[in-house]
Amino acid sequence: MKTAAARRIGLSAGAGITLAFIMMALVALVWTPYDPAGIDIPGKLMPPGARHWFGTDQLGRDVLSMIMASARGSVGVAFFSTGLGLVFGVPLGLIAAARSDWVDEFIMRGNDLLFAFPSLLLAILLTAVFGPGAVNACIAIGVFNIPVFARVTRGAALGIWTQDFSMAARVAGKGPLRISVEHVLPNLLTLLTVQATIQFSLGVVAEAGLSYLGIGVQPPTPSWGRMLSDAQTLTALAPSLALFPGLAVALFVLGLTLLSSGLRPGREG
Amino acid sequence: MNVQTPPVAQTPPVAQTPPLLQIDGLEVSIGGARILDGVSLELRAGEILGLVGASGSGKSMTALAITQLLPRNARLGGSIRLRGAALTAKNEAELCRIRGRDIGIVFQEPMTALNPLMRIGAQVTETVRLHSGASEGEAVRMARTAFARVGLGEDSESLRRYPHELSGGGRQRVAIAMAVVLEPALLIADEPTTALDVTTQAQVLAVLVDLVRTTGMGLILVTHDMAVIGATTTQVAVMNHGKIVERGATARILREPRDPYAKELLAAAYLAPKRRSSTRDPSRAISAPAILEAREIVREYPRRRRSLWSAPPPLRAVDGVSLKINPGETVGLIGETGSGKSSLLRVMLALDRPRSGEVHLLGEVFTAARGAALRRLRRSIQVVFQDPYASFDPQWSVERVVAEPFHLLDAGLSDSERRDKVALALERVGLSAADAGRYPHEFSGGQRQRIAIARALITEPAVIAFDEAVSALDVLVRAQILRLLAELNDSSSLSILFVSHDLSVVRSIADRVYVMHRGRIVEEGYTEAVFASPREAYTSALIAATPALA
Repeated sequence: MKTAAARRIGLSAGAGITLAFIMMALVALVWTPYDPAGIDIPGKLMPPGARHWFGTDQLGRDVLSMIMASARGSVGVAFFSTGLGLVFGVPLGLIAAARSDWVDEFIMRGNDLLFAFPSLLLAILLTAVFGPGAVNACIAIGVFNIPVFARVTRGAALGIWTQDFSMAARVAGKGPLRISVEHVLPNLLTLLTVQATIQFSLGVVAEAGLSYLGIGVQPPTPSWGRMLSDAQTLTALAPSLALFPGLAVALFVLGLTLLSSGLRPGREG
Repeated sequence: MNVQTPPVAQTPPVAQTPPLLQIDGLEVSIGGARILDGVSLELRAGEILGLVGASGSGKSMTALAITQLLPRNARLGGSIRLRGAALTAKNEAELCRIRGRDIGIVFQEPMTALNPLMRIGAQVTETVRLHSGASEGEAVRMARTAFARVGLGEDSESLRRYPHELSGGGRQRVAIAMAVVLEPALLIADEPTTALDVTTQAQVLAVLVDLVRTTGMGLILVTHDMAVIGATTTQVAVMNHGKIVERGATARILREPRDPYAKELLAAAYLAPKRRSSTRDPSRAISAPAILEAREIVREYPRRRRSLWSAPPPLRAVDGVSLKINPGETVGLIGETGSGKSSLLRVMLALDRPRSGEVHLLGEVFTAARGAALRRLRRSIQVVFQDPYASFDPQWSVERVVAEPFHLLDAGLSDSERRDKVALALERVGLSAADAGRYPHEFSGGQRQRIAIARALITEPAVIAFDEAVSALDVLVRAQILRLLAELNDSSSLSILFVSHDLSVVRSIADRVYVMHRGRIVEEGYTEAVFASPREAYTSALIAATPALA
């Protein structure tokens, strides 16, 4: 059992790490120490040092600048794919919970259908069909967030619907739409925030995965996933090339996980 | 302090033996707050001691202290002796042996006390084997004896059932069987019947009394219900704010309590709100047309499909019920859990549609109303629910909660108008206008129920339905709320539909009663007539099962 103090530490550490990565992505929009795409063959494969803190890669690009610039794509894809899931999944879940008839059946069976496919595999299929790129990666990952949010929303909303205050709202003449917006949704916000954080971290991993396979963010824009796949052949020569992008992904996901479990309500002591 | 010494002189033969349980100056504090303050008790073998008080009075904490099951951060002082041996000096391993073998415990909630995945026979046998060196066969034999004692049946079939196959009363019997299987010298029952229906309660209490008589163990019965105390105990201790304010023979305390708090508790238990007598005049009610009338309501629920080809017959929860409420009348609807009274209420509030039948409100067909007509009719009927904690959106302020039914008005109200009306409604139920800005969680259960009543009153309805609205409240708070209802009923032409499983509450407030059983109304009539001479066997059984003080 975690104590309240341990929870607080986890929450602040998670929030700190997450915020740091998001700040890094924002800073990288306007400034990086070097041009992340700037090739400098004579200065290739430099170990970490004073000039290049994280060293340079096989084309002489500054690894720190590439790590920073990669955060843009990572945060961006995770943000938009989570947003896509929220925007479509939450209303679907609310509707399914408010209507316990064929509409509910229809939505939830559609959900099950999407759930039945391994999401990363289908994301690969989608990007293979529609072409690689950041936007398609967002859509491919986001589509699989829809059933997650729909299911979580429906489950919790059904609980709210059985509460007496929802009944009181019906006695006050309010319709299902109004009750969903006024009573159900506000009481789900904490839960949805936690779920969104989890999906965000899964989005980071998925983006790295797609880019590793070469169907995510396209060159010359750097990405942690492709940095890892590029570094694979050079591990004996320059192990730090694989270390930094790997650490970046791991640390970011760790931060998001700490944040989500810190945000989760109750179950203390 | 006016703690009484036990009347030793009255029971000379028993006084010779040392008491089974002796508690002296028990003090418990948790995080600096003193929960128990100098509690002294004494219990002899074969005696039933009632521990009574409002919630938060420390009665459950006393029971936990005896079993040494206090929260880890609790600090304990004073002494607890079982057969002369101090329990406070024992270590955890010794205590584990004592619990179950020397002290049996039964808790309030029968479902959570049992393992849902284990057969009930196995659960009792496990207790035996944990606490004694009994062999498997011996343990089964003991379990059978225990099951027979609590009236569950001792054949192998009944031992092989799972908790979910039993009713609430049945589960509580299993919990009691587990507690008494090793024939402990002391049994502690913490509100063992509070979650049960009245007839089930009577059976479970009878089982407990019978066990004390046949095995000679001592029983501590923790309850907030004075009537239960009166029906079962020989000795009683009244607790308030962690202290025992009065202690003595049950008969004496029920007859002439000395402590003011004990008096108050007893007065509340008699449940007699003062009210205008004219509403009980039969002739007055009949003259005006009914405000709310249910005609031949049938409500069915689909059952879960087990086959792809044929749907099972639906569950008929309400089976042709007719019910009528006249202007200014308080009508009681009595029924046990599963009798269909809540389903009926939902139909009468036009929340669910009946399969057949109609509900008429103010002469219009409520069940068929749509749109504007439905909104207009809804203004005339409001509801107060059972659970004062689930009744409000936790994120809404009291003002927003109370004003929610204004949604039914066609013309919107200005902010100042709304604030005035909310303030008025709050004052009518005994709260202050300043409470509007606060949030529900800042209020106690009784105050929350007042907020719920304010919400129901805000549209000035003709009828308010109360669905078990006082069942979750303490006796003292319950008496206050009932008094408030009687006042509202007297001061306006408000009609009340009072749905409850608690006969004494219904009797104290209702002009007329309907008794519902298995989806049908089995008896109806004027309250006093029904209670004095019930025509139906079921009603007689209900009344007989209700523990009564008078």
